[in-house]
Amino acid sequence: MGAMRAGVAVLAVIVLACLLAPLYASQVSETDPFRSNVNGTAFGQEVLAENTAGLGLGVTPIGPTWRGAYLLGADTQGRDVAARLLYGGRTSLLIAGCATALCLVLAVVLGVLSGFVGGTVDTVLAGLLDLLWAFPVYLLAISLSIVLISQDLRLGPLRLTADSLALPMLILGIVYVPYVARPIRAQVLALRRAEFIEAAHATGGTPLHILRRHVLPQIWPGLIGFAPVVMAMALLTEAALSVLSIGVQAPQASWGTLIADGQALIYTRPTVAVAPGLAVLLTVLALNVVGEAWRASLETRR
Amino acid sequence: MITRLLRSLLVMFGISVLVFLIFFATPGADPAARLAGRGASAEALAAVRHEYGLDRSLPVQYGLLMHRLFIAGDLTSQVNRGQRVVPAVLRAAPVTLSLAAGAAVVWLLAGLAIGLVAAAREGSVWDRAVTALGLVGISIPVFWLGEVVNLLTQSRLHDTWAFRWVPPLGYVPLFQDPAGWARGLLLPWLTLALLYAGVYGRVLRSSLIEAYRQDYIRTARAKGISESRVVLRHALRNALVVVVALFGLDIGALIGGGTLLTEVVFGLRGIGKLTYDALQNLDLPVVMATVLYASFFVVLANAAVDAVQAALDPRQR
Amino acid sequence: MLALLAAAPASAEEDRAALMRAHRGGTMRLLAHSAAGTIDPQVNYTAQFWQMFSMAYDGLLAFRKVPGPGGNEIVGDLAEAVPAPTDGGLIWLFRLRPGIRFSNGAPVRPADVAASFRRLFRVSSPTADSFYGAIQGAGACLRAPAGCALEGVTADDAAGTVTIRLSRPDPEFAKKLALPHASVLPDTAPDADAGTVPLPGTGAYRIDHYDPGDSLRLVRNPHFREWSVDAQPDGFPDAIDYDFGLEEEAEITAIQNGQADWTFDAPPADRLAELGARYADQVHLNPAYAMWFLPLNTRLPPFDDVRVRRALNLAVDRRAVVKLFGGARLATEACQVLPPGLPGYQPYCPYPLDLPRAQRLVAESGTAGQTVTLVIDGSPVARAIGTYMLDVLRDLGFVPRLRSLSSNVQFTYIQNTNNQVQASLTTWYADYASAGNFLGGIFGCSAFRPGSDASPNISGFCDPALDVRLQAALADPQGGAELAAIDRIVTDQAPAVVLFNPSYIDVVSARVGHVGYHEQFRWLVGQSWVQ
Repeated sequence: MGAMRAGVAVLAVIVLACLLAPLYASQVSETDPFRSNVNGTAFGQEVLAENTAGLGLGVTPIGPTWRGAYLLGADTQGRDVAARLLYGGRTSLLIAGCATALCLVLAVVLGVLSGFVGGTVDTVLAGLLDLLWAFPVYLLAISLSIVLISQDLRLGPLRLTADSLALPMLILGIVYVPYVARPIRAQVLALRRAEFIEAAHATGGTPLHILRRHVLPQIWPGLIGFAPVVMAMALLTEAALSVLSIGVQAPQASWGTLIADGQALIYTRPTVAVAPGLAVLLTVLALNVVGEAWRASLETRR
Repeated sequence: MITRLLRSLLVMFGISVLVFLIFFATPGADPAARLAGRGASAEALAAVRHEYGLDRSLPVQYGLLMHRLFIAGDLTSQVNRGQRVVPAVLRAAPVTLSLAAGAAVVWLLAGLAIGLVAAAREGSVWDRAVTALGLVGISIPVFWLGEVVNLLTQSRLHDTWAFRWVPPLGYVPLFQDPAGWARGLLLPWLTLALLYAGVYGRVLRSSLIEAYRQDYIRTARAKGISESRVVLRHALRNALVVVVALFGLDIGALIGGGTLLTEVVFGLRGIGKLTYDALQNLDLPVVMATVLYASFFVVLANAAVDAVQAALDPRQR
Repeated sequence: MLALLAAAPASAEEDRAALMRAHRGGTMRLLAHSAAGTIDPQVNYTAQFWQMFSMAYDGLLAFRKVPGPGGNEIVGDLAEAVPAPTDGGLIWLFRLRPGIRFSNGAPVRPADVAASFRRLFRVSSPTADSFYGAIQGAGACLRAPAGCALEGVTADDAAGTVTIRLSRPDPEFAKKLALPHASVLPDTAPDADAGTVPLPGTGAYRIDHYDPGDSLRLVRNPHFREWSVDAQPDGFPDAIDYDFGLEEEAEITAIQNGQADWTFDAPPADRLAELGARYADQVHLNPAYAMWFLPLNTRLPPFDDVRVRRALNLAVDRRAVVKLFGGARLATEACQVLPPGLPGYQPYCPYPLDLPRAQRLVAESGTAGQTVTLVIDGSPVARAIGTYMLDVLRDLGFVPRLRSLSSNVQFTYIQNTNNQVQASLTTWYADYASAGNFLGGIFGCSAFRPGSDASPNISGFCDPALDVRLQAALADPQGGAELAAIDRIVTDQAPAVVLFNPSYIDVVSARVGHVGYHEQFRWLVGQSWVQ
């Protein structure tokens, strides 16, 4: 259980740090991390200084100062990377968290419906899952993103604009559904044939009752095991989409968009891309450790 | 077998319809103005639209597209006029295949070593280090790792002895220059393999440990068969069933273009890069061809895994 | 290059022969992130391939292939000389040079010239109307391209002449005849876009092979004999290889390491410092007839109010935008439509940075609080400028939104009025050095076509009276002052926020010598050597 505790502790620290982002921005960095600061100065030097050597081409942002403001330097817009890192973490974690919740809910509904009802419903739903399963995840996510960020999505009265965080949540929530739904369906199928459920049927239990009392409790622990893993995948995919500039849209920032910003500076100011990359790595690692430990504890309980 | 084939075809048909619909839901997807050129007259636009059948109904357009892709084989790009789609896919395929196959060799060997070491010394420092490596491997954003590798080997440390040999980004065909091919792909292989090596090592480790506990292995040991033969003959063979399933699905997805991010970062013009560029340009014919190509391999891999597993594991027969 | 310009004509010829002997041969290796579409010189409308076409195809006339301002001069190419049009500028009589052959060995005949002009319409060339619509019979050809007869162009094979009759005088017709769309092809060329199949031409090089997913290769045209060093000079390298597919970052690295000689793409901002400092000898900067600007839709709120358009112009810190582009060496701040160097250019900027005044203008208009969506393409520079513009719009009291579309799609998307684009960020590079290309090409009534993806007047700005004045000024050789006045009127009406005029930056490998920049076709690739 040591690994589990360590993982949870790291996650807690990351979440707490990200929650305190506004405090950091206002008290320590004292700049607006969402406003371009092209002509500003810090510590007596320009935040974005035009190069003077040779032909004098290009502009170099202020580097890591290791002081309060611009702790990790500035990006190409002259914004404080450290403050944006914290704000970006909020976005990334929020998106990954909501996407995971959405994915698990959809997966349970589809998996249980498909496995429990059976018949035509099962054929249709299983076919749908097969289809999503065979559609390579990144291709599906990228295709959906390209369509949805270039126009507003209208779902009845609900209108999602391109810069809404709900879009990446929705996309990431959908693409990983088969990964969870297929095992759940298999589990429910197996359970349906299990003796104690047949016994419950025989004693006149309503399907809803059987579902609540006998089926859901069985799939619950496995489902919780999926949560950190799906969230880890969602974090990575969000970052990938944002790096390809089809994920989170400006002015919002996520770790992925920070890596994208940093790529434009990787040769002169590598910290701008390295820092958010490390943040993703650390968070995903912690999630995977927790997921691993949970699954291990399940096995020992059996 | 027949039902399986039908199912697979149905899945691929569903994907093609999905791609088609996604495409037509995208604003600005009408390629006529891009094909006709800047500032073209209304007459020129109409001519292009007619030439490409864009003035027909959606089902007809879908049918035409499929006919030209699979039957006539003369489907052309909607961005680069006259560029045949099928040859473009066929030319990109070896790049992706080289990348995926090379990386697979690396991760299988690394995974095997990791698994054997960790299983032999269960609970030791080695075992834990290997487990940790596996977790780190699946937690690294691959495009970011690729960027960092490029930063170090192409720029920061390029002039040091360690990385002077690193060629510029890009792909050199195997038959043109085998050494150049391997040199250019080595770093992409390692980058991609890092994602998988740990996972395979851990899967192998746990199935080996499970196998060690099985009765027949204990018997073999008790009979005095040497340790290495026990591992090779019995335990590994058992663990292989799990690995084959995993490997089939992974390699299928990768060959189909799952290497997209790695290809983009390392400037390799494979299926993934082709798909990505086509998606960026909203080049429907190319997107359709590459997505179907990718899903074909996923479907094929699924079928192959089932068959191989049945052959390896008598219990499933 | 300087020495070459300074030398007297006679010795220049000797110099050139000596240089040819010393440096002829080798392969020039060019790079670009992607190919530029069809290889048909009468259809392709990109600066990227026009640069290549200038070495492989000829028209009746040509831009003089020399670096510097001389490059805007028109000289006879397949025709012996630039004729003086008769009948009030309506009849142009060209006499072909004898003995020129296509790269397939066939001789160039007047019939080929006439067929090429018909083909221009039959393949629905994008400029068939805008450039060549003045030719008699063009109207019928535009309506029915398939059977286009184009009676305005007649060939006399016996006399070796071609006559072009116009239905209205066109002061820029000679320049248009020197553009690649007016290339002369064999009359056997198919009446359809050639796509990826190279067509025979008359230039110093012929296109040997083209695959948009891989490469383009130009080799020496075996039937080429230099007939005019000004129109179509012989080239130094034996072959020109053009590879597609690398990222900009990798392209620069390849050039630095000597694995490639040049890239079409601008270097990433990140590499500029190192290029300027360590590779200064290999970097060539040349101002382009171009601008980066934000078209404002004058037919949609809030920009249907001229006060709001002026307010945005006043609120943009152009110095900041230039910094985001890469600094003052790469771009010059600008507020007006005409770029420096074009006829009629007089510096004019009624929009110095003045945020309080801008905010007052918005307050007067009563539009504060409205949502404004800015449509940009996905390139790093566009994203940087777009992100900065969000702050500017917010400072003015609007609710700003940014929409990023893929670079290939954005330019057609923002043109179509059906997409209801309020504001966008885009660039305009001149087709040829002409004030009309800017004042009429982007802000003229005829460039506004509602509901079409091809409507370069994105602002929807249209003043018919001004159009008439513009046509008169363009026809008048002394029309400079009038053009300047029109430039000021359009700038005052603020149908766009002009940001800056960019420079082209060409980075070549260490082995490339004799680099010359041409005003029309950029770097004259064939006139540089690699050995």
